[in-house]
Amino acid sequence: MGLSQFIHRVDNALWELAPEYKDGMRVPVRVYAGKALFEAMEPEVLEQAANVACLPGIVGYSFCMPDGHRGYGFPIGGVAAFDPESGVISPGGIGFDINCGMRLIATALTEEEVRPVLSELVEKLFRAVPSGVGGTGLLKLSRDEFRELIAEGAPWCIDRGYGIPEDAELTEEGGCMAGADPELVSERAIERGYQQVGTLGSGNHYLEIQVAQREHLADPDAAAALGITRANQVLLMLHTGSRGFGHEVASASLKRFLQVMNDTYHLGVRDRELACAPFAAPEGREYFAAMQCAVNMAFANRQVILHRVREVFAEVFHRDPLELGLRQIYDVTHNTAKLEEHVVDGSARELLVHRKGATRAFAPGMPDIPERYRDLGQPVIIGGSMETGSYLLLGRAEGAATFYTTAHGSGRVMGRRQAKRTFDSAQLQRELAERGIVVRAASRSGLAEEAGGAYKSIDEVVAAADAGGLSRPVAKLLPIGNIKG
Amino acid sequence: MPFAPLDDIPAVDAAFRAWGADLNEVFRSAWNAVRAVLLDREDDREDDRDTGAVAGELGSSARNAPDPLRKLELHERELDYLLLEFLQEQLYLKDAEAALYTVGELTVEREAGGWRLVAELEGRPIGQAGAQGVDVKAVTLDHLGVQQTAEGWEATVVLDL
Repeated sequence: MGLSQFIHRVDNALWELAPEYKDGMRVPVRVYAGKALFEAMEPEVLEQAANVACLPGIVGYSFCMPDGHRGYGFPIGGVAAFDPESGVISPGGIGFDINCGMRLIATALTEEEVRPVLSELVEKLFRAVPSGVGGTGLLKLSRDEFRELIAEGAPWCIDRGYGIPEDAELTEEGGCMAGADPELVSERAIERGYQQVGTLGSGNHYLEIQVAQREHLADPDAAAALGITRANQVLLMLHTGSRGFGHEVASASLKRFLQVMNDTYHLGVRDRELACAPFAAPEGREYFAAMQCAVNMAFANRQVILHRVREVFAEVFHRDPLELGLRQIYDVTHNTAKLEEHVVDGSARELLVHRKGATRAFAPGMPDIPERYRDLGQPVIIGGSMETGSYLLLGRAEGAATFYTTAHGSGRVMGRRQAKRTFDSAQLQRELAERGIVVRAASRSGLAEEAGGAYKSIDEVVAAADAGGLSRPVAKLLPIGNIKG
Repeated sequence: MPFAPLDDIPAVDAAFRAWGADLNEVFRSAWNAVRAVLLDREDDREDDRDTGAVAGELGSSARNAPDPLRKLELHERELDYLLLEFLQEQLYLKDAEAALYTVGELTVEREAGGWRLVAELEGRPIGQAGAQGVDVKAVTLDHLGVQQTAEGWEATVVLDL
């Protein structure tokens, strides 16, 4: 029987693949998507989610978010929780770019105030934030200083003047996962990462200047509580991760897990990219501690970039950046595994939640939300393409169904090579300029890869997450300037 | 030596197939294919003086100059994992030394319990302007394979960008 015979529509924005579909599935797959998004998903997405459902110790469901697309091991948009005693940890459920994430920064400026200097701002931001292949960052650190940084995350940078304490308070985990252990990180990873703090990278990483128009505020009161108070207010959105350091931690762990999962732990998996180890085993615990170092590196990376952004705004507007209202709204990670407490079958239990291309979205009142936002719910930052806009969302109580998780972006519908053949970078840049969007890119062909047409409709993704009870929209943010890695 | 992007693996970041008359050649072709992605090229021209990456004005000036020549020796039980480790070395050097390397002498051969690779690598600093490069996060295990064919050897590789 084919795949479609095992799928049924549970609700308007929820589909389920029965565990009878594939031998070894321990739980069903659940996909949050409207009809059009679901039908447009590649079959490989469901196959990958079904493979995840076969992993030992999985609890509840193998989830896929509305922006799900084909990944390596887990689909992008894949979410799975595991029992810490009987379950596994898998780098393929976290991604090579550990703590790839989003940071949203408010300004007190309006589009009318920024437009006259927009080109200058974009150019200066491009020069201040290194991007592209390799790339060396603002911070000139020794290897030992880098070890301190990966243990302490964003607060390490703030303590040295690269930010203000509020930045860390308004970052997921306070900008630091406490279990990070630099002793478990290889010298190769240190060598790849210690000079890259404060760099953007390339691919779909970017720094974007955006505008919140009143007609795009779904909840003006919540927007105001989050810091969006003026008509046509300008914001900045940052998308990057742990750079070569995180890539090395992930690749090395994948190799180590491949060696032990069959020989030592007798774990058969359906895809080598799902290489894993029992979380309770030394290999699992050591990877978790090394992964948290990469999480902290990414928080620090985004922190230093924020500092550079503040410096550039101060230079262009000849005012103190805090007078310009450059205050962080929030910073979220969308590639992690975390130990969290959730209610399963009426009982609270600790779970290891993998989110790969998926964002934690805690409900109002939950203790891990910064106090000033606790009554609202956790802010969620969803990055769209440079053409179509991005979203600020909030977590909600119904999100308990997915361990409080929602989407992370638009999700690709077109491979990078296909996008390069379909879109012309120079023409795209001209068209964006005609629409008032100034773009500066490290790689011209990379521009075509990130064309709006290469992605799903972000409006549909956000609507599906809303209909599925995962999150609710607060504001849509439209781009006016983009620095693309 | 030849390689070509693959279109028959849907929605991946970058995939290619590389060919060679023997294992040495197919490994060299695969290295050049990764390098071509980093330089955003579709061929295997070896001159990268006119290209490279952008770093901001505070960028790569402080990087250590790469060693002009370095030796690499790898041992793996499986041939495809040997290829993975070989290609990962290029990504490591790209970040750790801000340099792109070409392959000089290269030998891939069987040894007791697996495979051995010995290579000489020659590096050049990544440029500071006029960037066209695309960063590569990792060589993945997705579709990874090295097979003998009637004409020689071919390798399939998928990269995460």
